[in-house]
Amino acid sequence: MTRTTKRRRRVLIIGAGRRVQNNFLPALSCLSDRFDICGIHARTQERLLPVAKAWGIKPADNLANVDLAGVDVVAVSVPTAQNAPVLRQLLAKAKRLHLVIDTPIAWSSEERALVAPLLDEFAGVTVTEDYMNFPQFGLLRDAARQGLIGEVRSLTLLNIGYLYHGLALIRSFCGFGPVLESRRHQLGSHGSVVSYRFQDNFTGTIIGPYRRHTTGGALLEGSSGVITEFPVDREAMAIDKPVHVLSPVYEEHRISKFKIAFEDRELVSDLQHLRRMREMNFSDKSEINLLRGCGLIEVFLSVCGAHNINKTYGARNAFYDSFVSRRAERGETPLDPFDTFPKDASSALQGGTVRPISWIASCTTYLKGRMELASTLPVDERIPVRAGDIVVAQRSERQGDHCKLLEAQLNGQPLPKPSWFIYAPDWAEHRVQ
Amino acid sequence: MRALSFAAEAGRRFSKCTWGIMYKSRGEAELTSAAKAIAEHGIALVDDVYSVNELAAINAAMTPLFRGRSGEARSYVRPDDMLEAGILHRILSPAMRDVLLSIVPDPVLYHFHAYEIAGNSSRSHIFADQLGGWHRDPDSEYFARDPTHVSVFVYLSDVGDEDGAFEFSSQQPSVPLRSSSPAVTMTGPVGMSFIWHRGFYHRASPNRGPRRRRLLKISIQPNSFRSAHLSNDFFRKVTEQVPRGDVMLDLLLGRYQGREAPRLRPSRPVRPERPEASRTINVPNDVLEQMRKREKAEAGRPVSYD
Repeated sequence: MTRTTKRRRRVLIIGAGRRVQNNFLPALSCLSDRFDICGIHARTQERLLPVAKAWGIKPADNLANVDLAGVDVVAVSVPTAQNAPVLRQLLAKAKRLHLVIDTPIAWSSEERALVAPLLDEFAGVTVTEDYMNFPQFGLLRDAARQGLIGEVRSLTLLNIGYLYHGLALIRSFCGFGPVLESRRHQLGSHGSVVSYRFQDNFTGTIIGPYRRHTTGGALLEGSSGVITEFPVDREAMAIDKPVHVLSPVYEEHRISKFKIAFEDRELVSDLQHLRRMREMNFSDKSEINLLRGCGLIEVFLSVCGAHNINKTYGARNAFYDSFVSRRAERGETPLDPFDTFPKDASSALQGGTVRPISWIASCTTYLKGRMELASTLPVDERIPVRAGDIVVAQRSERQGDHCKLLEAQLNGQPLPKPSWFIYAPDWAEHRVQ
Repeated sequence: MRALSFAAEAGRRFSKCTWGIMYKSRGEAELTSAAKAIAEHGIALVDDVYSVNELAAINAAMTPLFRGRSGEARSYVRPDDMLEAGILHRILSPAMRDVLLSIVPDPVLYHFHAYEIAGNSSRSHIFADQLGGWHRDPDSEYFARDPTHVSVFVYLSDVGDEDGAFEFSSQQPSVPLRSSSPAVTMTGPVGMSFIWHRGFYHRASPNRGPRRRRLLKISIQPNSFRSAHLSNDFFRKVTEQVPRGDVMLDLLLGRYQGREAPRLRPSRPVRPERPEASRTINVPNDVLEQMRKREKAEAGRPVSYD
């Protein structure tokens, strides 16, 4: 794998809870050629000292005493309410620090409002969305990318894919594009079916309840083939395209690989890091936790410039998945909120306090040089606005269902011409400041 | 056909193009961060141009075409094939357009194809008879601080060390190549995307693996330079069938050649990342010296290839 830098990065870990002990430390230990854990900090000595001793790491009982000039990466895994206070203590050196922060970053609109502005202060931010990197899911994406099942039509997660983790996994197949539509059906008292529709008619469905990978699995359907984690599907599916089974390979009753067999090849995900973690000394060696560690390794590799999906995931997508998945689970987002309302996931999380001057739009939205259908305009008169993009208008005026942007920026860059239009039926409801 | 034109290295600002138009190389203020990165290091990784399902669609459409050409050591899917297979516009997606516009504001195509190279090979698939395949592209202009002729590669198959990985030396071409000159081997999964300067030394390492290596190649140049490749049948068919009106596509297909073209800006400039040099080119210095003499002797001779 092509890498973009060679020096070992010095990592300060903040937090010493189960997640750090069972995931962060094992994952970083597997990457000892790229990361040097230079310290660990936790609020309480009772938790900090045993962890520091067990892993041979220098403890830091007070963040104020840590020389952050000797730190490249800060990996934070604390309760969400503690994220903002911790990040504030790092602000003085934030411009040169790469922040790795656990997901979810915030659990309430109040937490989100406190933490989001602080993230912008750091040189880089990586969110530990590790679920989509579980090796079996990486193998699914590999097979799909190679066109081995044709155009990807749908991904179904049965009893797996918890809320934002499930949505992140689904969106990893469509470039983290926005949800265009979601539907929810209740199944009895504790189950549900949540389905999402994306551009190009790609759909993702999560059938609950979530059962922590004790049962269930994934099924990916393409135009010319299916990959399933359920071997019985090979016989049970009465379809006119081949069904390939994604299966674990066991050595001495322990999982060692995942594989998918095709007519002319076999795709294999060798779990060398999982085997290595199994030899380490930490408490949770359950299969799901070791797979989580494998996923986290991919997250940390992205910090070193490795070419993987975490490289582009970022905090905005993490907020998006957290917000949209919970709304969808409650059956509250039948339509893409980013298509319909001039507010973004961030503002939505603030309990309806709309940021009136900005818009995070879906890829179905265009900025337009003329007030005509985007599809009829030549390419230099339209700019696609994708999920995560921010349009900020200092001056604008209402023109029918459009908003004419007289002075505006797209992602901080001025628009190429003085006046552009955006289709925004609800824009007028929100006074442009 | 174009002429070898590496004569001017550092410091040259002008080049006389086919129509007598002088190309004035751009100053630093006119370059995006990606263009600056290419000028300085010759190569830059960019975020994935295509999503998983875009790659799935592209590969699924290409596989039947390549299957019929698998007997060829180097087989192509050309732009007319892409148009017929319904993936031309998907390949020239907004994200790909942003990549191209991040380097050249008025880009014209001169390569636009996907190709496979055969596996189980011990030689580079191109220029194998010299320097183990290391070469600069003689169909390209070179300005020291203005990347004009660049290629974008997107791997369409997984490429490991033994799979015909692209190799590149980030050493400025004006500095004589030495055995110890740094090089990077571009290994990565399907979808890995990078831009590289055709005036820097590069090669495809031998594809020793069992599978054919597949990649998408898009080479561009400013509109001021004539693109001889556009007269090929596979380009002409596309030019005839694709309606006018999409300014970017009109530019790429050479519809502004010989006259002033609009200069476009990317809607989202790409974020270039410098790949790490992990090895040296490891070609004996005496062989390099011979190559320099040959390159000098061949300067000005017409050449055209892809």
